[in-house]
Amino acid sequence: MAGLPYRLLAVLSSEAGIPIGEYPITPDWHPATESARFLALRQSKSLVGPERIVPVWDADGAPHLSGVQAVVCNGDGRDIPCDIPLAYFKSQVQSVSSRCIEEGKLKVGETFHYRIAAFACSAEEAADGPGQPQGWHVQQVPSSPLCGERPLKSFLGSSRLIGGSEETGDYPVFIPLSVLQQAEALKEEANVNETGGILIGYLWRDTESPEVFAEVTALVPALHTIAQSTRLTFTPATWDAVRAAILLRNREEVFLAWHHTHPSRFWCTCGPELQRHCPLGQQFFSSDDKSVHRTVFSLGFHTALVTGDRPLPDGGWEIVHALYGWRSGIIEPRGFYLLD
Amino acid sequence: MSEMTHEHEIGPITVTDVTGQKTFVASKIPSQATIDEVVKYLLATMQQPAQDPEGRPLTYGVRSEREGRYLGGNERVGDSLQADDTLRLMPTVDAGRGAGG
Repeated sequence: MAGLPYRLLAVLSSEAGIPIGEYPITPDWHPATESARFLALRQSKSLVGPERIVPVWDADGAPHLSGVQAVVCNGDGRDIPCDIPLAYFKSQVQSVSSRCIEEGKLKVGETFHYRIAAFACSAEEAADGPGQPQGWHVQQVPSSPLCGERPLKSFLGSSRLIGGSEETGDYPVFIPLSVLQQAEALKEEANVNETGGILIGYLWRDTESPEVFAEVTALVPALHTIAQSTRLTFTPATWDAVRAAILLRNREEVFLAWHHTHPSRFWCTCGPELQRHCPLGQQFFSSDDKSVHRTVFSLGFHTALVTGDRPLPDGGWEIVHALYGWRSGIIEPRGFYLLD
Repeated sequence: MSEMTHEHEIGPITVTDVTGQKTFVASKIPSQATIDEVVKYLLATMQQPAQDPEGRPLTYGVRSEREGRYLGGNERVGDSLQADDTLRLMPTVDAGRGAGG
């Protein structure tokens, strides 16, 4: 388990630069290391080795960070670094700021600045979580998520990029039009409630380069969920049913992504005049959505499709799709290729 | 004459996440440990979250592939598991607008 052998502090100050306080934080390094491992997989056909986290100091030098690097050693002994920005610590800083509000050091809505300071310590001191119980032994089984090789250019030749841009460096994800149409049908069927499913398919290596890409082949509707207007609960029975569907299809497909809907047209109470500016009409990935993604879809290639509503100038609504995925350890909106 | 209790150990046990894309092998698990204790340790080792965004504990179902059932948290390893068993950790998770929307 990679970690940073440093104690980290979130250093908060007011907009005017007056110190608010220093608070220890213990980041979740898993998304950073998984992003690094996936980047290494995309850049090299050799096996991906162990990873480590190293500090990147800001212009003033230690102890303040401008970010970190998650570094993975590939099978050729070459280090492949993945830059993790300071924004990686944002959720931890938000928790700290909530505490500051409770302590009266910040007001609700008040702007503040933060820096992350790092101080060297032993790996044991930096570790977050229980040590290994005496005698127990748990070891990860190395495995490749790849399903085989296919020519990327043939997929690019029969698809078009929707949303995002190629400059982001996101790996290509190909989704057939039929899957989006099914997602829309599920949304309409669920009406006021949220609904969802799992996108399955293949993770391919390009035949002409080390690049990796995903081919979605089906949307398996999520069964045994608890659906409400603003919440969709995936249960263990949901995952069982998806696995059963994959086995029944017998095509050796794998979990690639998950899908859920945001029925914003039923959430918005703004009225026709104001609904165009309603924040619920914007596409978003909520903190609950991020939690699902981190809990179940934490590998670098995993993505999430959200089918939502967008207000139209005439007072109506249209259905829109947005894809989210891991980028430098952070979940970001990204593009996908629509397969004709 | 002194008495000695020999505690059996169970393993190897294969443990996977929902997707089957993260797989671990656990060995030398004390037979007297409960499934809850095993899960608590496995979650940390597998870097699986133990709490939701509000800090509430996440619930994980533990499915035994051999028995085709979910194991109870209070069951003892020695009563429920055998060497070469496969367990799958299946969380209950909430998506949607929630508090972040």
